[in-house]
Amino acid sequence: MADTSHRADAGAMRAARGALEGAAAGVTEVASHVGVADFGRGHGAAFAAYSQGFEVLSEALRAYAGQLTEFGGAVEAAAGRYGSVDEEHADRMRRTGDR
Amino acid sequence: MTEPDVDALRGPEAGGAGVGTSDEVLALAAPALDFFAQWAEIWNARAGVSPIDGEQDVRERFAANAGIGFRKFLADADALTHAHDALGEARADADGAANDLFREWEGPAAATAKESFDRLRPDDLADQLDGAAQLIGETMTHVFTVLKSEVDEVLKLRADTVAGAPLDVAQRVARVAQDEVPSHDELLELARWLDGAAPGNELHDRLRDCEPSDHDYAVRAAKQWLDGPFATEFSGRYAAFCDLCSTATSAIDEQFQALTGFLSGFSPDRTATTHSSVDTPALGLPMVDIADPSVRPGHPADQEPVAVSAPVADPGSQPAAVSASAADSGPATSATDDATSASSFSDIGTHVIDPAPEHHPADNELGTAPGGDLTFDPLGTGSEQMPDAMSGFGGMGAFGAMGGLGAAPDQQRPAARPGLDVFDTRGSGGRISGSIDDPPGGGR
Repeated sequence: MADTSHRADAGAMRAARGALEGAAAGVTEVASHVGVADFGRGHGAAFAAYSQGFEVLSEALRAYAGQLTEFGGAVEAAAGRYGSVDEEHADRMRRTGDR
Repeated sequence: MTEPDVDALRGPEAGGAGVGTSDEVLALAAPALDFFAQWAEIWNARAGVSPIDGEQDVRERFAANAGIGFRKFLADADALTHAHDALGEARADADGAANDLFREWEGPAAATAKESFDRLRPDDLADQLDGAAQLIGETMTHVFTVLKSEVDEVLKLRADTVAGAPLDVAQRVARVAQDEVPSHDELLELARWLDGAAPGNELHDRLRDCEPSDHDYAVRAAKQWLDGPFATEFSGRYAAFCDLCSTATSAIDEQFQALTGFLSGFSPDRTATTHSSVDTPALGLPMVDIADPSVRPGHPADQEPVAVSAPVADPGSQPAAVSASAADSGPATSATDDATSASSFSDIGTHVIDPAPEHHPADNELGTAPGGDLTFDPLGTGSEQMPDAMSGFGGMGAFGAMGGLGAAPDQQRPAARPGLDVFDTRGSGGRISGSIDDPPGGGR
């Protein structure tokens, strides 16, 4: 049977969550300063695609930051679950010994 | 005639140096616009021609490229550069955090988490930010160059005379052509000029001792000059002016199209997978229906101890997953929605636990087909078509391409085996180690 052993450090996992959230907070969005008038009188039609391009970039940046945060949260949740499982085993072992 | 010093113009530069808007460039062409507007009146004196409106056909036509805000575009380029740098720093910080994490966390779940983290590579996004910042700067430089050339060339079209006539003479000829005959002396002076400008009429000699009816001859001579030498030269200059305006506008249009094409060409890489049978369970661990609180350890409703099991499948092979809850005795369909909701990092923790074996349906009912998870990864790679309904960025699990974080496979796993599937927990100070091969109770 394959080795499925594991080792987890809840403290390190929670610290990782904080660090990942910190990294995510450093991701900055991009807001365009350009309005349709800045394309000049004859080129305003290009504004929509330009503006949309910035929105897509901002959304992608937000998504990356969100994924880092989400990943960190999941790691912390995993740490909590490991702890719960450990307590559950301890409880079960106690009851086994009581019978 | 003093020429504007177009070469003295500094192109748009980051930080606010150089020209701020296209208006500052175009303003240097004012003498040329004045030339065309003034001489358009002479042109319009000709009978039967399409008039040239000095305001509409000259100044407005030339102003098609007015109002371009170089400085604001360059501010955008700065913002993109800043975002690019911040992204790089965030990525480096995240990598550092992950390195620290995976030094302390090992096992199937950690391995899968690491795989998932490694997929969080915003390379395309970083390239796009950097590329857009550079392209905006280059576009502004090109636009400035086009405008500068336009102004340069338009200024060359300006002349002190057209067909030999200064403006005041041309205006007098135009008045004669319109049958406004000046004084005799003035007419003779004009006739002398016309004889030089359009030889062969000997207008001066004829008018010197003229009869009143000879005024008609002067009118015809004036019209001849207007329709001949003047029309030829001025129409050539005006046509060149119009060509320059349209060429510059087209060139700038192309620049903006290239820029917006680059911006529009970026869409976060996406992965739309419908793995109904080959999904990787979240972090390599079985999945539990977290929507049902009764399956959570310690929940009052959970009278039976919850067995905690390590993944049963060989990590090297396709791991199996179970999506079932203690309250869910149905085989497959009830977990479908959960499989979708589990396709995110937030579900990692929920997969560390497995429901008690007695809560599993019969062996052949354990496999929970999610009906195909659908994930959209804005940062990962993938070539499959994103469904229209998923065109947004919400709910983008980074595990998309690996089959979905919480996607429950069709594959079935055997029910947890009491004893064998129970971890030996040796938690100490937050450290928990275990092996599926360990017997319960800690006896290795």
